[in-house]
Amino acid sequence: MQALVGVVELFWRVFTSLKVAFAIIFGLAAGCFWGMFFDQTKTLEEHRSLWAEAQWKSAAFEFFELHDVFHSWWFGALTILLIIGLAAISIDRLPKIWFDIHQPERKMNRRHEQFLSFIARVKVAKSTSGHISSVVERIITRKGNLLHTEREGEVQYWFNERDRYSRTGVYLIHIALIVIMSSSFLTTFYGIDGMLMIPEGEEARYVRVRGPGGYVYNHDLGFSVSCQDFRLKTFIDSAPMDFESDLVILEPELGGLPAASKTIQVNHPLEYKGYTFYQASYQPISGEQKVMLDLCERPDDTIESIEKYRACKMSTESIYHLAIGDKVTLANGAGYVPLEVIEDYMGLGQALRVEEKNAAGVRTRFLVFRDYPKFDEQVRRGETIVGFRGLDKVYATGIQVGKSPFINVIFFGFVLLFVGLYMSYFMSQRRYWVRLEPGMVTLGGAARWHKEAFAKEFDEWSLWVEAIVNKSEKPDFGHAEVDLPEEEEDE
Amino acid sequence: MSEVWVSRTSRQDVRISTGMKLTIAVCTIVMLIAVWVGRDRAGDILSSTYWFNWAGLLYFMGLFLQIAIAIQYHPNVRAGSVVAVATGFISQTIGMIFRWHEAGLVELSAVERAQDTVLTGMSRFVVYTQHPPWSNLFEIMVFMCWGIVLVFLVSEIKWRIPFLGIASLSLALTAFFLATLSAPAAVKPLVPALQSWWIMIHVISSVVAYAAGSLAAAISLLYLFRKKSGMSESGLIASTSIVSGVMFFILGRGMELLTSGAYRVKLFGAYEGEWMPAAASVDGAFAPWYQPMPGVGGLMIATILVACGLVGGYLFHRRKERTLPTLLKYGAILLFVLTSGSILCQLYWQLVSSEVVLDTAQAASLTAGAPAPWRFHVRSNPWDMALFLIIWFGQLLLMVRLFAWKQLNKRLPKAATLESASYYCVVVAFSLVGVVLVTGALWAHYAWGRYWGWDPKETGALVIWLVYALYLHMRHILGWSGVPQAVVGVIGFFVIIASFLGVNLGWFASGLHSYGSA
Repeated sequence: MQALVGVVELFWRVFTSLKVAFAIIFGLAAGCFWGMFFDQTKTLEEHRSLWAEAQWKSAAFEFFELHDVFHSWWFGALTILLIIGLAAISIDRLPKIWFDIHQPERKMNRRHEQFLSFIARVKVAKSTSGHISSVVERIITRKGNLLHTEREGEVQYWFNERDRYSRTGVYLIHIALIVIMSSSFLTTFYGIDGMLMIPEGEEARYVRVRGPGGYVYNHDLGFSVSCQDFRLKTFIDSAPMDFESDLVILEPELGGLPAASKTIQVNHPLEYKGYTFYQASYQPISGEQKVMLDLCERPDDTIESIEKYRACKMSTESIYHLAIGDKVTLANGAGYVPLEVIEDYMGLGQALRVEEKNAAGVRTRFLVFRDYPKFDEQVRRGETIVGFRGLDKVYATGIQVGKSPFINVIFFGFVLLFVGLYMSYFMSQRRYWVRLEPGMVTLGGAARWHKEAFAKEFDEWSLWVEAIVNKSEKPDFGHAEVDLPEEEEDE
Repeated sequence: MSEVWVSRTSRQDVRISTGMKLTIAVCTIVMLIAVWVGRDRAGDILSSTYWFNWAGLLYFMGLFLQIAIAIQYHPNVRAGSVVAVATGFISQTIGMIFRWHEAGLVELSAVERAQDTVLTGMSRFVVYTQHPPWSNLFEIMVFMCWGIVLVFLVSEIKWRIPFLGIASLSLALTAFFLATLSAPAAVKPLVPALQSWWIMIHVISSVVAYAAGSLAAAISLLYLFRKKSGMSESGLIASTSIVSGVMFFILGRGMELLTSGAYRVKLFGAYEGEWMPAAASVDGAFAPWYQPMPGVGGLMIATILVACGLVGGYLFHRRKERTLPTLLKYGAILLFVLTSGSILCQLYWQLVSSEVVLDTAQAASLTAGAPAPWRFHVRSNPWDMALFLIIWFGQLLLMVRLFAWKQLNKRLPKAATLESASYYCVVVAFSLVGVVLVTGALWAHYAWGRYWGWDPKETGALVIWLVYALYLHMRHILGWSGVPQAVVGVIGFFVIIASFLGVNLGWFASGLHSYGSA
């Protein structure tokens, strides 16, 4: 039994030691640095095939799982140790801080005075001691509502305090870190972070997930995701502007019927059964190349026809996806065939040669340009305005599948972290004491953080007190003694 | 105000010496000539370039005056330098507003051309404002400069630390010149992942955090040099040698420098009247051609050897406390001379020497890229040059500490003030890195589907946070304020450089943040 207590005590001492915590943080930082410098995307086999000349190197590499350091056993162990250490330190210091917050020394007598770093004395004439008590009340209430006052014979004490609970800010930060770290740790077991590449028009059910040791395995979603269409919108210089996919969830429980559908974009995901599907990337698949033609009837001068033309231009229904040589026939009898794509026509960019056979059977050939959408409208006076919207490649949409069941807990941790940071660094627990004895007012102060700023505040306070207590032109107490660090003189 | 809050300045020397008057006059004339010469190239008054040029000039003037008051203090000169920097800051802010406007116009025209519509109302406003002036490497470097100057101005109001102006303004100007030298300044439409409002708070807080961290490091460095009882001279020599040696080793691309003895940088060729990086064809793909800079490699190796020798000498003499062996002192001078030599040698090749002659075999493989004549250019190695200058600055401080300690000590404020100043900078940096991590996690959750993915840049931010957490705990809990804490503060700067630039310049495995370099 005694031995057990001893062991527990030893563990407690180890975990509440700040130096141990430093060592753990140092180890984590070292792991982070390794992960920053060293490529973490290859598997162990790939590393082996790249360099495996020395046996010990390979063995050490494998033992420490350096190809995937952030999921290695030792990184995880250090994280757990840090969580335990943080919790232990928090519990260890709680009674002391609780006592300090709720049981402050309210009476600044001569003995307690020695422990304070900020002390100032203001002499008063003995005769005024009686009525000065009310003045002193003003002095202390300048620092907030009076908390405590008591009288002991001729000596009277006052005490005040500001931002008492700011000391718990550090606690909040530590608790927030424990919350964030432990839920992240659980997420590595219960969460999913994988990729899904679905070619347009196909469906998928298994997600590629990078598991322990960097091995890739397939995770069964339990339902299928189908990509109905993928659209890539580009700027004129063909840099991607936006891309989106029409996703449909096919649920086997419903006999393979659609259970949900949404058009997802970057930053606008679809959520289903705790899984979140994010538009992450795309990939062209080699296959038959199609061109996109958009065909609209030329408007005459009436407002209706102009409106109709504008609506036609805006809608995607007027866009035809055609292979070279395919023919499309419009309702008015005119037919169009794309003949060839010219990559750069006389410096005007990508162009398409089109053959038109109008209702009367007359064939004409002309060019339309991708970069000049109004070319056909302004130059060729045809019945139908032809626009070349570029090539339609077949794409596979890249979808990041995420499942983080504890995300709300983590967000709560973030909130706690912010509150804690604010309380710790933008508030400071400050205490003020005043003692009035015949012929003397003594001011005392203490601050938890920001001692330099408090020194300034205390200095101003004591000067103000000096002015208010002795309204005579030349106060006889000389100067306010401010206990500040001594001027350092080297050499 | 008690004396603690005023830096120690010798109040006797209020007269400006004739030499100083003359120097200031010459500086003013040079500035005016610069304005006159550059008036045609300054650009339109309604463009960002115009205001950025003014900002650069004014920062330069502020830096010059800061150097002047470091040599001989005068309150009016100091006020002049602060006014110059503040004016430069305002004009840079105006420039950034114009840049935002220009980027907004680019976005609008790109989106309108792509969709073949005219945007109106709210959608027009969203597209117009979605491209803030901190979304590529050029803009982020300019913004970094802005952040450093902001933190410097705040610290100048609060603490008035001499020498800090030199450190922070040099850093800010380095960022500024790196931006103009090495990053493309053109505005390009945003990639989809950056089209989010998170970019605003995420990037602003990271820039201010890193600026505050850099300043904390500069102040910590001054603290180390200020406090004679804290770190012995031989200790300072040894630590400067370690930093210099390691940085030279990294700059020489590790073992490559020691095995081949060459320091390689990009070679430039004349291409349609402009100097462009020369490229060679390797396996059918073009790769930039790196040419050894004659002389620099040798000097760098010599520097590394001297640094190793100094560290060895320090370890050998450590028992003799406080007495500085003369040999170590001379060794430190040699280190400084060698570092200056390698910088001057590079400047000679970049600015003075006009042509590099290659042998025929090399020339043949180079014809694919820019043709002859070839030369080294300022843009051959700007990032390396910045690191060279940072090391040089540290060594210069060491020289001042070794040989002009009395003068340095007279100018610097009390160690306690320096310590509290660096503490406040770290508090700002620590809180804001927390904001960066959290907003980054939120953004990543909404944009990429995971809140944390061990991407190199987010890992770097985490390491910075850990380092500053260490700093704060050392102070509050262990009471290790002073030298160990200052050392951690200086280390923080190198972590910031590694994580801020390392990813964008491709030192690490590429991550999701690398689009910032485009």
